[in-house]
Amino acid sequence: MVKQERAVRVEVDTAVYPAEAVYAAANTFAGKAFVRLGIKRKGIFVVELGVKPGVGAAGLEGEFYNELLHHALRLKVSARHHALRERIVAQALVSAQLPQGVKPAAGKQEAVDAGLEKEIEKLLKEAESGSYKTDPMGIAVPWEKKHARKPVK
Amino acid sequence: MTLLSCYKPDKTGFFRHRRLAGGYLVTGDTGNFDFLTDREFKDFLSGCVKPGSAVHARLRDAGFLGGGADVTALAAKWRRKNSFLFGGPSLHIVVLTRRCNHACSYCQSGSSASRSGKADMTRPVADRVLDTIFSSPAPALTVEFQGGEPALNWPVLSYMVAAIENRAAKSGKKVIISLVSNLSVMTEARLDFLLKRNVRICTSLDGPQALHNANRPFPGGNSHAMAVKWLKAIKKRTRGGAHGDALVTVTRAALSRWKEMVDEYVKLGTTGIFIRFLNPFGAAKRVWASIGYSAAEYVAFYGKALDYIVELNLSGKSSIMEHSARILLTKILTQGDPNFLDLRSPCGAGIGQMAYDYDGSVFTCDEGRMLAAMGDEAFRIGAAGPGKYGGIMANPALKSVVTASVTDIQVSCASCAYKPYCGVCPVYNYAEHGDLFMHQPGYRCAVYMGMFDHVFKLLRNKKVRGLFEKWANSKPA
Ligand code: SF4
Ligand code: SF4
Repeated sequence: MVKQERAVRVEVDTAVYPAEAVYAAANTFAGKAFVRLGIKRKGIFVVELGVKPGVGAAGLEGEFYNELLHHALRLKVSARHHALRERIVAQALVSAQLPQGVKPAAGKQEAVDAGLEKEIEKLLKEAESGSYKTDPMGIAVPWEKKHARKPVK
Repeated sequence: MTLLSCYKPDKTGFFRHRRLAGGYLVTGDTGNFDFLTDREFKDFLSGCVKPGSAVHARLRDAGFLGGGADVTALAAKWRRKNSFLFGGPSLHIVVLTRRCNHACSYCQSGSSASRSGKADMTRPVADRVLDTIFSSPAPALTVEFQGGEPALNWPVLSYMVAAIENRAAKSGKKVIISLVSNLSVMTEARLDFLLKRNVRICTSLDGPQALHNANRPFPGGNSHAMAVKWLKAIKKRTRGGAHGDALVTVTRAALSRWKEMVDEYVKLGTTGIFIRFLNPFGAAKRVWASIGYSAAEYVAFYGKALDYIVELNLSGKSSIMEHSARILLTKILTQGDPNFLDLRSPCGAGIGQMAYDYDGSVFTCDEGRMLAAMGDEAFRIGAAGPGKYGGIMANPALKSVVTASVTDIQVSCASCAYKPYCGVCPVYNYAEHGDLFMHQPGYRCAVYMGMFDHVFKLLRNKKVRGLFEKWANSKPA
């Protein structure tokens, strides 16, 4: 590490910390320092922290490494649970479209579960391809249209 | 062993973490949280928390331990916490006039001096605005009258209140009406009219007389005296003042006067005080050097004010509640939503609220309208009128704001421990950084982060937690 008056230079080995953690830590540091990212050689990032007025340069290197560590941990946690979290939200959204509090008739629960499962899979595929339904909950449908009475014949 | 090398992915559920008060705060997607010491956090990461121990029980009950997540139960919790996504816009802010008789230092509403009636909403425009409001599929609506000073256009205000009653009865919708007024042109007859129709009245009270009047000059009058007089009258005529509320906008001059500010409210006998920070954009930006402050200065001020309010409560001297904390606490401690549209993901713009200018122009929210008053119509999403609702909701600006306010896709928020409770503001981002997405360092983010830090630190104290549980579960007046 090379220290100058108001700048700190940190080298990061991507074999230890993933590149995403370096970007995230750099973003977190944007309040304290002007951050410049460079590549020294394959697998080695150079992070230059130009300290902003009113911020001390002492301890900045340690703080940056701490931040890196926490972001690397966050990335690991996020990668591990990504699919499950997506499924929870998809199930919440699909079930919100069903009428609440209506119990299926005896023997029909399995059919309801299978239908729900199909809808969740569909939603997850839509999310992946970016082809969302425009207004699944009908919040853009005016009240008068939603509650229009059918003409009495 | 570092945190990274001791982490065993199968041993924990999903969590976010933050260093706080010498330990770690861990939070989850449904708002679940726990405080851990450094040792406990390492044990948690490595799956070494002893079964049967208190920490194990806490982490298990909060859903932080690995294995066997109940997807259906978690989905139901998520749905409940985010139920605001499914109803349509329920808050409708109507600017009855841009005229005002005050000259507040921080005013962002684009108000002008009070003589000309050109910036008043007319009855035909009011009808068109009501058409759009009642087209919202939301079964419960809140119509909030703002300005300028809305009571300066009393004929249209009273006309709309009566028209809302009629339309509510016909449609079967539940409607709450609220008036945001400086109370300077209130009269007994007007108050009668409003209270008979259950209109909620909200005013500004920035603290003791000198501070309030310095912030809110009222040429030819005493703003503080009027606000206090009518707040007292409302309190007297309703049960504990249930229809009268006041809020504080904090300026630089107030930073050292947190105690006097709180004492003023205690003296008045209000049930709550709503302490709000200044947003450094729009008209406030022009005078920022004299009235503004840094995020750190505000957070320090807020911490002292909140500590004092907590102390008053715990010592039995007052039962006053702080509403910003109540909003955060409702999000932290309950499965409900406090209906505060700026701390949601996506935020309330368009899908939770709409704002209507005096000429019937529709905006994503009041902040979007304020920007238009400064000459930038980026957040205008249409004009009110019969059959216009569908087109307004399909407006590309609205869709962009909704997308840009999802916290999952903001670089900083995605990994922030406060994400389950927080929200970002595309209007602020646009005004401050020229981009709908959040940039770091951000003033608004730093303020909320500091407020969350303080509230979570206080939550570690058992007695304070009891008080905060009460606040979180209370219904605002
Ligand atoms: S705005 Fe700031 S405090 Fe809020 S979730 Fe995002 S990063 Fe965290
Ligand atoms: S854009 Fe900002 S002011 Fe408008 S609703 Fe969203 S958070 Fe609130």
